[in-house]
Amino acid sequence: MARALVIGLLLVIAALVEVSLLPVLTVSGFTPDLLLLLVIAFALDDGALTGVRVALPAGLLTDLLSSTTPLGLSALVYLGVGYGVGAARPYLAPESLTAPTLFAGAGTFLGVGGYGILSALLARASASALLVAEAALVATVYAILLAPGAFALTRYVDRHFPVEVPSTSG
Amino acid sequence: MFQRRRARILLAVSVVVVLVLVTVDFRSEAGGDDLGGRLRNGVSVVLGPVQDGLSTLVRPIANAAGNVGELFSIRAENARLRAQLAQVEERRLSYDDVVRENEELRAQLDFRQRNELETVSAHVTAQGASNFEWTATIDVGTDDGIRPDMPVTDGDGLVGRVIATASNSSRVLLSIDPNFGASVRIAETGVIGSLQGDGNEPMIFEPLITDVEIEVGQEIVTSAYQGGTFVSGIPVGVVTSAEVEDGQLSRTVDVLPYVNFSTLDIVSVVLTEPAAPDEPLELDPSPSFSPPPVDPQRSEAEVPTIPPPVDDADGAGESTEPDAPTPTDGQDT
Repeated sequence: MARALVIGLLLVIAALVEVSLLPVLTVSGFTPDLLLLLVIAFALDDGALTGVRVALPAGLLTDLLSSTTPLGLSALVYLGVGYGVGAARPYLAPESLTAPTLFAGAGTFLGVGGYGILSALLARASASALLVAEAALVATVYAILLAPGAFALTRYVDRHFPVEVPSTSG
Repeated sequence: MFQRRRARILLAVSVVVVLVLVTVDFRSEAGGDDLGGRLRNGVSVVLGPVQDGLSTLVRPIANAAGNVGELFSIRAENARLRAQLAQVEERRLSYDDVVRENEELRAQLDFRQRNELETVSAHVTAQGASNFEWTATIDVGTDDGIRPDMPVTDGDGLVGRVIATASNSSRVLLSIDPNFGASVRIAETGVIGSLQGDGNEPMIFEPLITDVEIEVGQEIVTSAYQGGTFVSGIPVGVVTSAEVEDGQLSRTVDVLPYVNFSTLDIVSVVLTEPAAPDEPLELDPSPSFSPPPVDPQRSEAEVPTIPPPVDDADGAGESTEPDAPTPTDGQDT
C-alpha cells in the first residue's frame, strides 16, 4: 500500500514537473516524457506486471493533463510500452546500464511515435509525419540522457518500498 | 511464469478498460456531454494552485537561463534591429500623413472607431502534457468571466483561444496547434483566408482567393469575416514564404507567428465579443448627395458603349434587352 502511494506521488510530481517546469527548458519545442520514462524504468526494474501497474495511472494522468486527444489514448500507449519493456527485462544483463538505457530510448521512441500516430488517427487535426518523427527522436534523446536518473529513482523506491510479490523474475 | 501470466491478464483487462474509456469519451464529446472535459476540469481545479506555485517558483530561474542562452544571439540581433530601425525611420516620414488621411476617411465614412478591448490578465502556469498538442494552462477561469472560444493575446499578438474553463483556471489552445484554425486577413491588402497551426513549423495561411499577390513580410491579422470568433485586427504573424505552385487548386502561405511560445508568461484573455461580421451597408433613404444633371447629347457622345457579344450562328448571343444601344448607335451620334 505504501509502495502504491509513493509511486502515485512520484507520478503526480513527475507530471507537474513535466507541464510546469520543463516547457521553459525545451529543445525545438519538445519536452521529455517523464511519465513514460518512469513507466519504462519501473518495468525494467520489476518486470511486466509492475510495468502494467504503473502504466495505467501514468497514462491516465497524462490524458487528464492533455486537452485535445481522447481520454485513455496515452494510457493505451503506456500499457503497451510498460508490458513490452517489462517482458524484455529477463533478456537484459542484470548489472548492465547500457542495455536498459538503450531500451529506455527505444521504448520512448515507440511510445511517443505510437502516441503521435494514434492521435493522428483519432484527433480532429493531426500532426504531420515529420513532426511525429521529430518529436519521437527528441524525446528519445531526452530519455537516454535522463534514464540513469530514472533508474536510480526506481531502485530507491524498490529498496525502501519493495514489491510484495516475492518473485520478480517476470 | 505465474507473474507473467498475471501481467498478461492485467494488461488485457487494462486495455479493455482504456478502450471503453476512449470510446465513451469520444461519444460523450460528440453528444455534447463532455465527460473527458469535466474530468480534466476537475484535475485543473485541484492541480491549478500547485501549478501556479511551481510556475512562480521556477520562472525567475528559467528567465535567467534564457538570458544566458540569448547572450550568443545578441550581436546578430543588434545588427538586425539596426537595419529594421533604419527602415522604420524611412517609413515614419509617411506615417503621420497616413494617420491624418485615415482619420479623415473615417470621419467621412462615419466609420466606427475601434473600441478598447476589455481583457483579463493571466499567468501561464503549465503547458500541454503531450508533445503533439500545443496548449497552455492559465490561472483565470469562470470566476473571472472567462468562457470557451475567447481569444488570448500577449504583447506580441495572438496566443490562441480558450478551449476549456474551470473555476480558477482555463486551458488555451495555442495558435500553433494543428487543431487551431482562425479567420484572418492580410493587413496591407485585406486578402481574407484561413489560418491553421502546424506545431513547431510556421503556421499555414490559405487565402480564400488563390489568384492574389502575396508578398513575404506582409502582416497577418485576425478577421471577423463570416462569423470569425476573434475580434478583428489582432496581429498574428508575418508571411515568410508565399510561393505559388502551378496547377494547385489551393494555395498555402507560411506565416511566422509574432508570439514566442516557448517563453509565454503573462497573457490577456479578450472578453470583448467580435463585432457582427461584415454587416451590409445601410443605404440612406434620403441621401444628401444627388447626381448632377446629365446632358443627353454630351452623354451620348462621350459615354462609351459596350459592344454586344458576337452573334452565334443560332442567335444565342443576342442581347436580351431590345433597346440596348449598339456600337452603330453611338457612332452615328
